[in-house]
Amino acid sequence: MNGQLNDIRAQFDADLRAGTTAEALEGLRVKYVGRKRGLVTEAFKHIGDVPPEERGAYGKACNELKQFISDALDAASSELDKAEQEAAPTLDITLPPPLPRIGRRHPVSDMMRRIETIFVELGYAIADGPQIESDFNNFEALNMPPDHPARDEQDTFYLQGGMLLRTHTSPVQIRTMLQQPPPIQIICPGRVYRRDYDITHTPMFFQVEGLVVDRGITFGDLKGTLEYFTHRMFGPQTRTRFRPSFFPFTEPSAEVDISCPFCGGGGCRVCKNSGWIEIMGSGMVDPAVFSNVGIDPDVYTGFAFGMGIDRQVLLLFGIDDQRMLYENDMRMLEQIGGWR
Amino acid sequence: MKFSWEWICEHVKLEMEAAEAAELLSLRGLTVDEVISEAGDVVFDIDITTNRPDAMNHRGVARELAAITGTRLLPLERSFEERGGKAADHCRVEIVDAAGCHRFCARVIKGVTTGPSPDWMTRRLERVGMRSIDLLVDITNYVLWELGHPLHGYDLKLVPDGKIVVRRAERGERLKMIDGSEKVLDPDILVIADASRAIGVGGVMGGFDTEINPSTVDILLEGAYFEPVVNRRGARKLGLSTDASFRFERGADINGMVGAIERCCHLYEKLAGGQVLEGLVDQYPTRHEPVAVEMDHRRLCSFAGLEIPEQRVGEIAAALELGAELDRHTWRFDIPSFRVDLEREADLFEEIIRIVGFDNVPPTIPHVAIEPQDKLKLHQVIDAAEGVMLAAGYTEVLNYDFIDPEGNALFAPPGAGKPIKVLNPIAEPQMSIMRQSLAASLMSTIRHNFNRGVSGMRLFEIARVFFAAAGQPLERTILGMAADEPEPAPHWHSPRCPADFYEFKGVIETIFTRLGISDIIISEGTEEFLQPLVRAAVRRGDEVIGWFGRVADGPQAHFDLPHPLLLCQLDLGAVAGDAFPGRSFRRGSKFPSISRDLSFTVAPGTSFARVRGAIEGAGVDEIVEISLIDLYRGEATGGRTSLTVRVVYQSGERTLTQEEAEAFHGKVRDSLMLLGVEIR
Repeated sequence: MNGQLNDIRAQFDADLRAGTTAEALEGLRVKYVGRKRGLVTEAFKHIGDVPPEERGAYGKACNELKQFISDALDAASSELDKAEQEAAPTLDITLPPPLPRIGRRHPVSDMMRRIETIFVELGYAIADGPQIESDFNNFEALNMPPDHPARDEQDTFYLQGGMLLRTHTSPVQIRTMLQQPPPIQIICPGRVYRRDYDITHTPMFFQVEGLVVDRGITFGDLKGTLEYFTHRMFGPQTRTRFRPSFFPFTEPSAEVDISCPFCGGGGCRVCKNSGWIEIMGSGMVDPAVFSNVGIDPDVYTGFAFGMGIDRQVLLLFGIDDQRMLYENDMRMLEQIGGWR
Repeated sequence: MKFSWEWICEHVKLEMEAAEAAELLSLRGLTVDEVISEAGDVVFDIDITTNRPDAMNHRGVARELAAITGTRLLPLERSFEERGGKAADHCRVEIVDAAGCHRFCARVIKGVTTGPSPDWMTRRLERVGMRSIDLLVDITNYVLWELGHPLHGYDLKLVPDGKIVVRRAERGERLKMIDGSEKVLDPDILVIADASRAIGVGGVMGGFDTEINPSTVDILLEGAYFEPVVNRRGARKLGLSTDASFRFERGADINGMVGAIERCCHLYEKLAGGQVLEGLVDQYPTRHEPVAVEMDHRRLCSFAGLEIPEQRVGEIAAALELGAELDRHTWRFDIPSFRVDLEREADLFEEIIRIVGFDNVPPTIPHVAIEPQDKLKLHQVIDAAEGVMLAAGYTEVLNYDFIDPEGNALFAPPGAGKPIKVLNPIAEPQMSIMRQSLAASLMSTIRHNFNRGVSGMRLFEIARVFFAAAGQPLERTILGMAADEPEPAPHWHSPRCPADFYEFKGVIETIFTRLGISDIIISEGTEEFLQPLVRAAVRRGDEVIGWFGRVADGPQAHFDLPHPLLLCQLDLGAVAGDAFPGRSFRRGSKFPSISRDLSFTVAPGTSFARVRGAIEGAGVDEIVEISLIDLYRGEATGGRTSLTVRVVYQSGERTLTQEEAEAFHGKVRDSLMLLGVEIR
């Protein structure tokens, strides 16, 4: 009887070699181990024909053959699935995806937000005021009476009705000092205007100014605060230099230079080989300004600073014409606009 | 302002190279913008601030370097022999306007011979940017750049009787200047005159007729002090800014002029063979008293944030040529007449701290005990609106606040009044008024980009618009949005849809959701610059706070744009006060919801708002969501509008049964029937 089982085995091997489709494999499953007329199933049924002493071995052989065939069919079937999968078209991960539509912040207001954040974290409040101002708030209160030569440096737009377009955000400082007693710790960001139009000037641009007034504010406080700012803004490796200067509203006054962020101070085209880049003006509030706004200069001291945002944007991105900032060319905004 | 290193070194002995001196000057007082090597010399380009007229000459810069390095100036040769008669016999000075001219000094030099200047003088003048003219003229220019005091020489024989009168000009008086221009004068202008006519504008420019010329033999040399404001007004009125007026309007050295005249006489005698007559003619009607300033040493140290030894202050004062005396804690400084910027204690703080060195003051961070305060409400609203715009894919632009009147007029809001005019615009008419709307600027931005091949833009700007008012003009903070509407951009995955009216509506509603303002009504618009069928107003109660829609043909053509544009403006300032009300959390139901769709048609002209109202008014509290999932309008529905609405029912207390949902839906259907819908 074992010879019969061997024949079935040989026949199965031959069939398996021939059949390679899923249907063929299913056909083989029915043919050999099908419940009804499977050849192995039939062979089981002949167990009665086997002498009793051999029945145990015969049954075992039948079971082994059934197991062998089932395993072989499973293996062939999974082999076939794998081949099918490999042949199927796959996901092309290199296709260009649809991009999320994300708005960009104008680089100038983005820079302004960055600066605001640094000072807000230090506890400064953001103060605001009109862009159309009086001569008093823009000049006189800041110790620039009519006929002061320093007015030449801020060529002013005048409006009907005796008003003017603020040439700096300092009038916001004046308004704040007129409205609230010290201590004061504010920044004043916003649009300002000067009558200039060339490669390095636009008739409107953006500034952030700051003002701190309290008892015992020192020149060292001015230095420390602005050094903190330059480290946050341009990196901790940045060196800061304070150069004596003159503004009618501060005494002493200092221009603030940073070591050139492009060459680290070694000298390059951007810093005109000086190693330094001027980024803002600053100084201790002039006592005459305090007197103009009713703050006692014998009791209070303070410092103020102001920086142009546009120049820092030009510097950061290597733009050589300030006028481009207000053309709002989409190709520029998409390149250097800020993400939120 | 340019300075020759060689010339500076003639006034002070320095043990350093030019580059090092430039660095020191920059850090301690005068910013050297540029150091240029030039034929064996070095030229410094120094940015001298308006408060330091004393440093606008070589000896002044040398004095600064002496103070910084703790050395003293070298003496300057000014000697000459006085002979040949008294100057006063040849020159008489009368100051009529003593407020405009505080002091007038003169000397007479006879028998000069002109000719070319010596090479060293020509060279030095060229270094500072002056052209050599001839010896007699060059000498006064040389002394100007050496000592800073503007001097003027007259040809004595052309000034009748040597009579000088300092007065205001007569109205309509005429004067031919040395640059050849002819000026018409008026009483704002201070003139130097002879007995009958003006011969120069004081402290600004001399007259053509009396100037030193190649045939001049005798010179009347003027040194004077002109009051800064009078000088500045006169120069401005004439449209002149000269080396002389630049210095006088910043403040000249009222005593230093005498020494400058002496130096000039020395050079006339030595180089031009001149004979200096005896005596200085000196009219000094408006005397400047010596200035003394007190400074508290302790205040200095606490102001600087640095302990500065008293001895160091004494050294610095000496180096700056200040007389200094210390009484307990109080310094008393005598201020030399060339330092017109030192008047108050604060001025002295500056002097001491800058010479000590800003870099030697240790940095500190102040602790200012301010009450914590919220960001201004308007700024919070701007932040929120900006956040929504950026998240919705709109890019921020910044435009000038100036605009042309025609573009402005197209979009000016009703009742805007006349726009505010800029009296001295940078471009007329393009930038001649302050904008009353952001619309025209946004249109221009789109056109600018369109001309460069960009389309499908979504833009926004948050800025102010300006309206005239009695007193302070009105500034309103506005959000402007713009988008152009080209074809959808094809893409294999999903084509990009252009912005349209409903996208704008969605963005606007989202902004107000973000602001927590729920009583916004979007109703029919009336703006004439928008197309009548595609426009809307944004209202709160009776107040119109914004508008949006598609730009009408007129404005579109004005900006020469080929395809339609959407515009929107919202007055953020008008809602800022009510933004961000308190919010509270409502827990969502934990029971499942059931949704049912309903398809029906409505008569033309029935708005969705009415459909929605009918559903909400069906008396079913369990409605949690109503959405419009399909809309069709066309021939198949016989002109009626076909809608499919999905209504979601949910209870907060239990699971709804299918039967309950069916009953609710029936109520909704009944309510809609009252509106005249036909269920499909």
